[in-house]
Amino acid sequence: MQRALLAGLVVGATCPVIGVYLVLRRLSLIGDGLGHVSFAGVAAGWLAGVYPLLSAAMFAILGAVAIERLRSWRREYGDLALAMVFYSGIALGVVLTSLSRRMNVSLFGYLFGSILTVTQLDLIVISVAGGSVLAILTLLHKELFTLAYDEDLARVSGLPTGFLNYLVVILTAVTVVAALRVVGILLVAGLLVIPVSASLQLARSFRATLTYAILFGVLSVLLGLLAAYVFDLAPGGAIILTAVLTFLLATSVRGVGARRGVST
Amino acid sequence: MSGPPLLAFDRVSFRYSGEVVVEEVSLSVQAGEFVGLIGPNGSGKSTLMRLGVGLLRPQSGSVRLFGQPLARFREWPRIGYVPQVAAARPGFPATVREVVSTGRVGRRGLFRRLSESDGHAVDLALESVGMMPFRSRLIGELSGGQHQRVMLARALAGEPELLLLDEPAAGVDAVAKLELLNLLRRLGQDTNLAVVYVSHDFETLRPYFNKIALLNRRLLFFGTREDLGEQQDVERQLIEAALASDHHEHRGA
Repeated sequence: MQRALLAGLVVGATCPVIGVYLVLRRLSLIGDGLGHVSFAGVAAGWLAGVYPLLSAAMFAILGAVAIERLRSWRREYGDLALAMVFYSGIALGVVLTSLSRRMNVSLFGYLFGSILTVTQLDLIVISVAGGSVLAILTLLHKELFTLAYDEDLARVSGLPTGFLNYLVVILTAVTVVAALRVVGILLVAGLLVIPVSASLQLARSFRATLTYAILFGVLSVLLGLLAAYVFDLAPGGAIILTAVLTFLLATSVRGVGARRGVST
Repeated sequence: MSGPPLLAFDRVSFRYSGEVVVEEVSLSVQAGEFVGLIGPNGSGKSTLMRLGVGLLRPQSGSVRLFGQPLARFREWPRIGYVPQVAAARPGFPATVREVVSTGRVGRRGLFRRLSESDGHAVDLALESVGMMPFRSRLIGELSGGQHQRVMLARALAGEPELLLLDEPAAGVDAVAKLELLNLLRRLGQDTNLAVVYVSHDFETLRPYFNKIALLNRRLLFFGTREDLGEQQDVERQLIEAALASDHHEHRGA
């Protein structure tokens, strides 16, 4: 349980931070796409006898690079690039799974999350991945904020926008892989996006957006885990449903504020 | 006049999907000049600005910034750019001050945090455009005119030597427009800032420019206000000719 809690806290803090940059750049679904690509990686890992998070990371990073390459090639078809990688990933995952001839029960742990079975190695990988992502995002805060606000202005400011775009999708891939054991492939995008959506209901600055998003992410993991423990629920689903509840709560608070004439 | 031009277009042409938008344009901007880039809608003014800051690459001709070819130019903090009002981001969760502070990012360099002196430059820029009282307001809550002033403050915060303004007065009332023009003229006098100001409102702006470029895909005139003034009605004839040719070409297309 201690390992589960630690892994959950790392993921709960990391996902919303990268999620802020994705949501503001209208790339909310990229986490979903990379989750599906990492499914292929997990299946390939099982087949080859490789540590699944490692193979998932390799596939997710390759998928991330492919998405950005396709997106930068034809910006107007950004969502098409996402769909191409998304379906290629899941199709490859299904084929690789069928090749193994035995649908390993542990695979479900990656699909739907299995935070209570997180191993010591998993915890180390999750902590290093999450910590690295948070450190890089903190160091490049002003550059990524500028990029999120307006890519053209970022370019004219002399920022290496091509490099930063690739960096954002690669960091997303790493975050997605770190979150696989916690909420699972099918729900990982929820933790990237929902705490950010909740934060956007209340925040009055970019700094506050980041702070609230982390707060809602961590709160969702803690309360979700608690609910899963008390009511014997699937932890991944409980965490995401808790995040949805925080979003609804934040929306209500905003609504009440607006009715009272408070500018939001 | 000393040193190379801050911005120089040399026979620059650009096409979108085969249609010529900018054709063989040559002009240059020196330190301290206030250049009005005037032309009707669709005349290529915004495209020329985007070519000038490297957001587009010309299919022929060349662009030089501070004497260097665009491809080799790296001193971006020397340039301020304000795009058209279309760049507004309603719903973006950032305060006015946070947005203006992005104007300092190029000066600071990768991985370095903004310092107190950056904050001072940001506040100064906000003061200069009269947006200090709005510094804590969300950027998406501003009117179009206020947003343009914030974008101008953002550009000024970087303490540029060359400022490219693409229709900066769109959505701004007449008083605010004159204030903006006076501010730019003062900056030009005090700091030797060069300004390229894109507009189609020629009559209001004419007294402020010391050089004028009339554009309708091709450059119809480029010279001082006095050169233009010596020839009665020439600018009107040129613009009318431009509009007529524009109309004719569209009908013929």
